[in-house]
Amino acid sequence: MWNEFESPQSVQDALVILEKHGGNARVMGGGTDLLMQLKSKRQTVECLVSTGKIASMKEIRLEGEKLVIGGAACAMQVQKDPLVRQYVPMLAQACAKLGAPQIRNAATLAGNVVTAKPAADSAVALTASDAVLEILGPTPRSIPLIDAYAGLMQSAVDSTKEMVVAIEIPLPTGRYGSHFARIASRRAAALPILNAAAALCLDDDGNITKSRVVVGGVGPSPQRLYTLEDMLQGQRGTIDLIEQVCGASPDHVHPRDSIRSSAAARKGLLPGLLKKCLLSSFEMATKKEG
Amino acid sequence: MKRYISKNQKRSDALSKVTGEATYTHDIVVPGMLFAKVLRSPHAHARIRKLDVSKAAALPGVKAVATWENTPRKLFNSTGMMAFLYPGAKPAMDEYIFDQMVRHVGDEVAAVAATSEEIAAEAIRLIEVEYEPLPALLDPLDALEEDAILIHGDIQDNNIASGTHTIRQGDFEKGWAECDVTYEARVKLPIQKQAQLETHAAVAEYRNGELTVWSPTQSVHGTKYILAHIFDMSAGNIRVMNPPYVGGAFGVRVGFGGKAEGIVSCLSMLSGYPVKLVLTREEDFTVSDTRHSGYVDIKLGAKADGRFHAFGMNAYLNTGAYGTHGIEVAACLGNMATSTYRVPNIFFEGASIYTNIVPAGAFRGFGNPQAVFAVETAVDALAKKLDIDPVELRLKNRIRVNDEWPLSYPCSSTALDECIKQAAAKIGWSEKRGRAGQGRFRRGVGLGAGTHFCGYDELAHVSLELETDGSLSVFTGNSEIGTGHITSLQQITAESFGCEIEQVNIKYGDTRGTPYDVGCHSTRSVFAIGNAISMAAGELKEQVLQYAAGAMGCSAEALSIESGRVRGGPEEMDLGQLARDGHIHKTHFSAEGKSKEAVTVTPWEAHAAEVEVDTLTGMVKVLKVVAAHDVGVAINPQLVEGQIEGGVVIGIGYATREEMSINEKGEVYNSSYHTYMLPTFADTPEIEPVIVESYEPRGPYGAKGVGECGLVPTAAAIAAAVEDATGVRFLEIPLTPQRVLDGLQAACVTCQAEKEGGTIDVE
Amino acid sequence: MGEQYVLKVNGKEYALRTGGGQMLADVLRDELHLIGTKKGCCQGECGACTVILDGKAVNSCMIPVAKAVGADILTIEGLQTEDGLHPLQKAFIEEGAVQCGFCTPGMIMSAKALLDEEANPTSAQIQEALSGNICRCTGYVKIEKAVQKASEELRKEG
Repeated sequence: MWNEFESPQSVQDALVILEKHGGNARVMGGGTDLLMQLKSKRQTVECLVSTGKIASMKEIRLEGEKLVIGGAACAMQVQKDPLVRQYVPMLAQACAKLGAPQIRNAATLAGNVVTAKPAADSAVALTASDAVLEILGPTPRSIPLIDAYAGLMQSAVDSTKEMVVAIEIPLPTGRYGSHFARIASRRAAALPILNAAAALCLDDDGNITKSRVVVGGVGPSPQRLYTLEDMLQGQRGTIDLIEQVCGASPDHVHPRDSIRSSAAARKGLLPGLLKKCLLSSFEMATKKEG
Repeated sequence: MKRYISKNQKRSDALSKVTGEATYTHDIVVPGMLFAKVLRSPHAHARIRKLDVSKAAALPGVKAVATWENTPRKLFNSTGMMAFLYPGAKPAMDEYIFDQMVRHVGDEVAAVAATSEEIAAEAIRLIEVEYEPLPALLDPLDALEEDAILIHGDIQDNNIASGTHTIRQGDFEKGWAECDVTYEARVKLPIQKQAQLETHAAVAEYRNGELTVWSPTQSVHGTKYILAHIFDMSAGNIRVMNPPYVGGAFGVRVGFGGKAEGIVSCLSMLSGYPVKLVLTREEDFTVSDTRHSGYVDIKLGAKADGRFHAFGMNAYLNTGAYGTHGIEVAACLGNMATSTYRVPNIFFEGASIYTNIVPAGAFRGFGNPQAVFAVETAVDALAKKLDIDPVELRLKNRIRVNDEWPLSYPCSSTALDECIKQAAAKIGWSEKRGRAGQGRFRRGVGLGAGTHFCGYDELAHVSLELETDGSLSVFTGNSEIGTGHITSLQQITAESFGCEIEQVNIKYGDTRGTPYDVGCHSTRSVFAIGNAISMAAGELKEQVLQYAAGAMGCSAEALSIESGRVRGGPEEMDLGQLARDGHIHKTHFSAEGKSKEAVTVTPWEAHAAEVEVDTLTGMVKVLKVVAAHDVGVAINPQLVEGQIEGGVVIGIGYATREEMSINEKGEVYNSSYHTYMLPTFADTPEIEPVIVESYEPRGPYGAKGVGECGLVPTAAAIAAAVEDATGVRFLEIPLTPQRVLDGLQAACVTCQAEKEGGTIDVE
Repeated sequence: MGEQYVLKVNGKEYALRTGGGQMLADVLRDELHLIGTKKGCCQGECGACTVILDGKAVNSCMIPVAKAVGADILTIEGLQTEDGLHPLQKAFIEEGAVQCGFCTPGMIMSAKALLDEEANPTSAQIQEALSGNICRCTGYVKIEKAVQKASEELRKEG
């Protein structure tokens, strides 16, 4: 599956190794998805470049108006981090549902995004938090999460050449609440039938100044429901409004039938799931002071 | 007061298992060992037109390639059923190690033995096969059609494995016409997978005319017989061993497991080296025996006072590509369906039917869970129609000791009434029944009851030997597959003989040096082996006391064995000293325990479940299961509880989440622990095991068994609870969110129709 | 690869030389003959191969061995000391939490990782911490009791 395994201690060293192998090396975070892929496709890479020893990539810190999560931070770390819990609680909730504890102790958040599973719980929460991937390599760039998927199971990040060194999340301002929820066949180690993340910002008068509604399991990547967000924008935040908006949600998604659930069932489940996310976000936001 | 009976003796293998020392087949390393991989069919049904292994054989490191061309052409049945089957039935002899036909996706085509797993895997990819795909059957009802393709057309002219099991009592047609209320329905059961933690594996070494096989088989003697048959070898030159531990079984390997034993034996013979095969988890999921899925049609009728009067059942089980346990499971289904309640008029016909999917075989319960799901659905439906409480209706109709029933053995003990009452009381039946309300979350309680059998007309044979140090060795051909019954047998031995339990060593899981035993399955081991042990221990004790009496010049009647010493005479004798004296001067001390007649006894169980149904998502959350079991006497209550609890969780999986999905090409979707939804630690509800004792006069110290019983009525109880919660009786499991949502939506129509009058059978 | 490297397992250092592509579970079992760590799926899904790596429970079947170089690895064999069995091992025996035993080492290691971090776990915390360890025999009931019992013992020991 791999011939060489490198554990560079800096981002620079990692990039040098990638360049040296000219496309035959691969960045590896926890390896929980990557190694399975290599195994099942019977592929061999010349070199695995592990981010596990790059100290700076393991940090979770505040930088000005941003929460910066290092590309090598594992899901368990993100789940438990006090800054994440304070500023982006839906992300902590999403990470807590990734697989099982042993997987969370190895899998990185960045890796989870790059694997590009259509309903990756963390990707759904990150999309709802306006997260941006900081990518270093031949073409350094920042891309918002919503653009991280290039297609079904395809990432916009080319892990043979570049790496996600950090995920940056703008700190929410004002009265903010967020929530992540999922429906799955069992309480651990199960891909979701449907998952969603929502975030709301209220001004002092209780009007919605910003909203995010993101759903996974209804498309090849997490879907932002812009129409629903428009319905919420500028309105006075009330439970009735939220219920109305959620009730309209099935018309704005186009899921397929899959073995885990039919398209019709997913549409049927969506309002309830979104209600949970939006009502919880609303509750959290109203409790906060301006 | 017994010293060792009804005691929570700690398992004798627990220390080994918690320290990591315990050895399983996966851990066996034999010097010079090669590694095997198997080439499997991508087609559900095909003829092999061309098979070219030359490139594979030429790969450096490859020592043997086995195909149908260089392996024995001897039909067999890969389960121990070949070696033991109830009278009158014939085993399906329909498997070759490799054949020119492939009959399910994953069927074995060839195998390679090489110096490493990687080389073996690469060699497999170099084998060139030309298939001629044939039409494939996936549903057993299709396989019964007149023009259906024959899956074993070379040996028979229909698609039924072994035959049809029939039961007749009284006159069903007449009885049905005499009923005051009736109910009929078809239930549909899914494919459930054992998913035991240790995948199938085997190591074989053929040397000096002897074949030695290490395997996690549940039946070392059964496996030995199958190998002797296939290779035309004298059975005495074959040794089959558990190493000694088995990483779970649940019926998946009563005999071969995934044919591993046969494959490695071929490769060892071909290569001249020992060979090891370990199935991947994907292989274990997709090619090894499953639980029988299928359809069960039930008709149950009663008189106005609630007495059951007529029972009719047809069972169409999907046995997959090979018969394995097929006829036995169909028979067990019928036998169990007709032996819980008194019914004068009975009709049953059931068969296991070939299709081109992964074979179904033995899985804990063995047709009984399927039977009970159908029967209890009908019982609850009649309770509703008669307006009699479901608990009362069961108590009224349950079988009592020596009641007439269609089975060949009598009911010799039952405390099912106590089980039902305790299960109902402890779930809070009267407080919780009929209180679902109209909200989004609805709660309900339900009950299911059933029986089983501890072995079926089986015999047991053990030998006991007093060692020169005074310890007692018990030799049994049985296996320890995880239930802990070996410890219970130690308890029985120590109690029967009168020694300290630390002085008892049970030697098991090895055909060499143990008498023939059919193995650990059928809920038989404590009952049958326990009986044989207490018989042998009694005889051995007699030998010892006679010898001691002679040595001390006193009467044997005055003597007894306590704590490893002979007491009651002019002096006390240490057993070790006695053994050594005897060995030098007079006699050896050993005894056989051989059953004088085949005996079957019946354990009983009732499960009560409380569920909460989220009518918005279709999620069925099991809140609590009370599992009350009549085990005769619990030799080791903690072990009995462990069996009940483990069974209940598998039963919850069967009821709510577990099913193997097979697509139109015959490919199995669920090939891993993340795609097969068995319960994880986070999914377990409250489980309350209740041991009820009825004292079985023909069991060792009154014991019967419990192994399979833990999941027999669970699905029925849960479906009943879901009906109490939602008003909808589901006739198909598992109750996945999808299925429940669909059913609840459909029921909006039927519920309305019911309000308008008329009899509606919920479909 | 053929390179030499050092693995620190159960407090001891082992010099090993191995080819590329090996997972930690294979090296533990095949090179160091520590067979307590079991391979139930080789896909990181069943938890039978759980070991503790720098204090965290991980599936060793999905850890490239090179990734474990420099880390402190604890396997089931490293749990007991000269003083005897670890309270978890004792509790598993006492509470009847062992049946076929194949899941047991991994289960105990996940429980150890939990108790190292949370001395007095609730039922929900135990269930979640062990949710990556599949058991098909016990129904998990007595395993939870064993973990509770061990946590009581450890708190008594102080």
